[in-house]
Amino acid sequence: MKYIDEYRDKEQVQSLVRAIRQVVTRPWHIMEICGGQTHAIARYRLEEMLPEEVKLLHGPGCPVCVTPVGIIDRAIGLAKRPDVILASFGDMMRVPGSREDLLQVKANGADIRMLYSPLDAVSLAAGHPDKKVIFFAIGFETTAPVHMMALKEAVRRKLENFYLLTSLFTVPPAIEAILSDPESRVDGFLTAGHVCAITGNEAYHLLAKKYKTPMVVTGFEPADLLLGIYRCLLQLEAGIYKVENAYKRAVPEEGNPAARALMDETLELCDQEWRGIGVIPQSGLQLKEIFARQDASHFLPVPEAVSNAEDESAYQVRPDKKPSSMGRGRCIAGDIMRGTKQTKDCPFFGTLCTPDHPVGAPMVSSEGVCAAYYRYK
Amino acid sequence: MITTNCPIPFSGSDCVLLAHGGGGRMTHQLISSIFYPAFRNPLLEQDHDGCVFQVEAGRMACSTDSFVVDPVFFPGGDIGDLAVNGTVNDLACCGARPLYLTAGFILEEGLPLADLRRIVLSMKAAAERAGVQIVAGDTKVVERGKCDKLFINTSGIGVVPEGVRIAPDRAQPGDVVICSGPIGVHGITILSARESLGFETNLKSDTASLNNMIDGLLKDIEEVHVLRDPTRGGVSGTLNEIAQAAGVEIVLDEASLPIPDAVRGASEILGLDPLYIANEGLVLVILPEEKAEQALAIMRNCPEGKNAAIIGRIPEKGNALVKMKTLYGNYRIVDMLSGEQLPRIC
Amino acid sequence: MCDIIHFFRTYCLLLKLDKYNKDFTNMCLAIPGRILSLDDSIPELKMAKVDFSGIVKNICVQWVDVSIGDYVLAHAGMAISVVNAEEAEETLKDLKQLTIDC
Repeated sequence: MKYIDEYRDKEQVQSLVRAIRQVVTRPWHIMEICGGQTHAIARYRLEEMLPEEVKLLHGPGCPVCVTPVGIIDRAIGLAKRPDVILASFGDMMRVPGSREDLLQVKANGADIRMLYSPLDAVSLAAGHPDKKVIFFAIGFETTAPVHMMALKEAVRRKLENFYLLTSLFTVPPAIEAILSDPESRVDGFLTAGHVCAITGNEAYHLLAKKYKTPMVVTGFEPADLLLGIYRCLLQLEAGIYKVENAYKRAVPEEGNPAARALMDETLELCDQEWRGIGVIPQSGLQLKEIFARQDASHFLPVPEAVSNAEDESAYQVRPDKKPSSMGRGRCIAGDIMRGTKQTKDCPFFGTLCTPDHPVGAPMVSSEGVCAAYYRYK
Repeated sequence: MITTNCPIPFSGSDCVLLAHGGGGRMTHQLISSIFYPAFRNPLLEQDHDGCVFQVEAGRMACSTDSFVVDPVFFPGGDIGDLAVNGTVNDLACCGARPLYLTAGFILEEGLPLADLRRIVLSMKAAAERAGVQIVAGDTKVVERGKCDKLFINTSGIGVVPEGVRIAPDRAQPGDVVICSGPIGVHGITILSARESLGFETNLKSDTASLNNMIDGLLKDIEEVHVLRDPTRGGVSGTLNEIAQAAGVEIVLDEASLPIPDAVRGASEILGLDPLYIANEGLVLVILPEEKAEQALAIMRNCPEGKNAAIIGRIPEKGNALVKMKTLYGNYRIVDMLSGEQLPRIC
Repeated sequence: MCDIIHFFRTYCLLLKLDKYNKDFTNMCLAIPGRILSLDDSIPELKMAKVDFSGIVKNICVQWVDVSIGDYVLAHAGMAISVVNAEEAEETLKDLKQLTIDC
């Protein structure tokens, strides 16, 4: 497969590992914030190829995992309405709200469809004029404009029954929140290549300078990831901190202006709650007032009780099923995503918390750090 | 005196009607116009509640499977092909020579008779290729919406020759795992035939009866330990079951897995893993390493096995699980996924 | 304590506890594919047939300037960037150089 196989090549991977070993002289912590990169690192078991000194941390890069419970409850509430077809990416189907998940609700008769693209939801709306078609629009900056494209297309086709329920996040504020945490152990960042393909690298230059932290734009194949790690280590060892692009074939410096123009037209920044972390100011995207009519969050209010991120039970998937036999404890996914702990520090990982009976959301989504590590152990 | 007589419906219908399942004249019409002409054989035409046949002394094998694939027609075959090949292969994987199949149909009211005829003819052709006969059957009809077009159950009987013992718990250290062909083809073909996913491909389902190839293998090699067809759950599901049953570790070699480009492409886009995708014309053969070359030669001589390759081995020591040596030489566990990755795939 | 945890982990690995349903559509995924044909019939929704190693999908190419034969990265139905063939070559050259140097 062109532009994939070349970056999975065994020799390239092995020589990158050798190069990394040669350059490292002391311990470093490098974080990525991208569910796809987390998954790839776990799948190819890249970390175990690296020298002991290099520790990989996995930030809150899975939008499924950081979507607040309240929004999932709202999606479930909407899906249960008989006049609604709720459409979603596959990954959201199993993430539980405060009581149940979308898959259970589907089994009980709600009309819920799994789609590859938000554009398919527009066709769905056109084909079902008697129903309200709501797309559960979650994602970072890579996916946000795709949802907006679907919105514009629905408007162009004059479809009155198309809505979005948004849960959209931006990466730079999360990096800022992590780096400004006094407990942060992060020395360098790999930035999500496909996010940068849309946004460009501007915001990361400011962060690199402010926090004196190298940031390397990185891809997803094993050679891309190792190249990103290598370039980051070169900077760390040399005491440099700048933005470098190790994924040039896919990421132009300016990103994708057309996609950004669409986002500027339709979305605005807002304060956003990240499940497991808390509210990060100006880190989310919401629909502008002119698109209020297509905003599904106007249908039902957010159910109470579970939107306080400080409450540890808000993070746990089944607050009534605390793993009591292991003593007091809680899901530490928030600490893992902030980089202050790793999955091996979690007493429940792989024992009382598995994809079959998860304690926290990152064990449910296939891109969640815990699920990725569990699956490819 | 009031008599209640239902008028006989017009027999000129081109669709399955509820009356076709009533057990009366319409049922007989359906059987005699569609099923009997296709499956014609003396055992079937005993025309009794069941058929009676002579057996050789020895061991027999019996297997059953139901087929609910959606869509019923797909590139490379249809539900009829799956229904015959699936049960034939299950019997062959017991080490048996498949002889007879039964076929139970649950039909949805409104199913076009032309579709039913086409599926039945597929079953006839598949049975002929496999050398089996369909000797008993049943037809029920349910109201529109109570099943999706049709569901088929086939049960099969075969004879296991003296001395043949094929069973999952026979897998042992020193064995290798041979896969008879490319992985993941059937599952991706089915997905491509589902309009809602919106992708096209030139792939065709690999559904095929494998008993002739397996027969050739067992005739020449006594030491075949395990045969399994990796249908639902894919190669991973099947090998995990074998690892558990035999208490052995199975180590796959990622670089050796025969995965066609289109399966890889679809897996990348859809986020699937080919090891968990259903196959309908594949068999995994586990036998001692010394016999592998001979087995490969026999299999590659058959059209269904022309791409046969060794994909793994069983080391001397290990835990009862499946591992894979990645392209880079490290190892990861290949877990069983028992959730429904792809619904109604066979 | 560590021994107990280790025991549990091994024990759980051996049991068939995992009903993990791997739903498809891995979201961050953007895959390179080759443009086979273009469809400009709707100016606001330019589409293309894109070949991903034998799987052909309709992808919207509204945000990219492409010709037949170009490679794009497709994410959730949209092309988000054009694969820069020269940069790809450069990266591969750098990687090969690393192979020689190390």
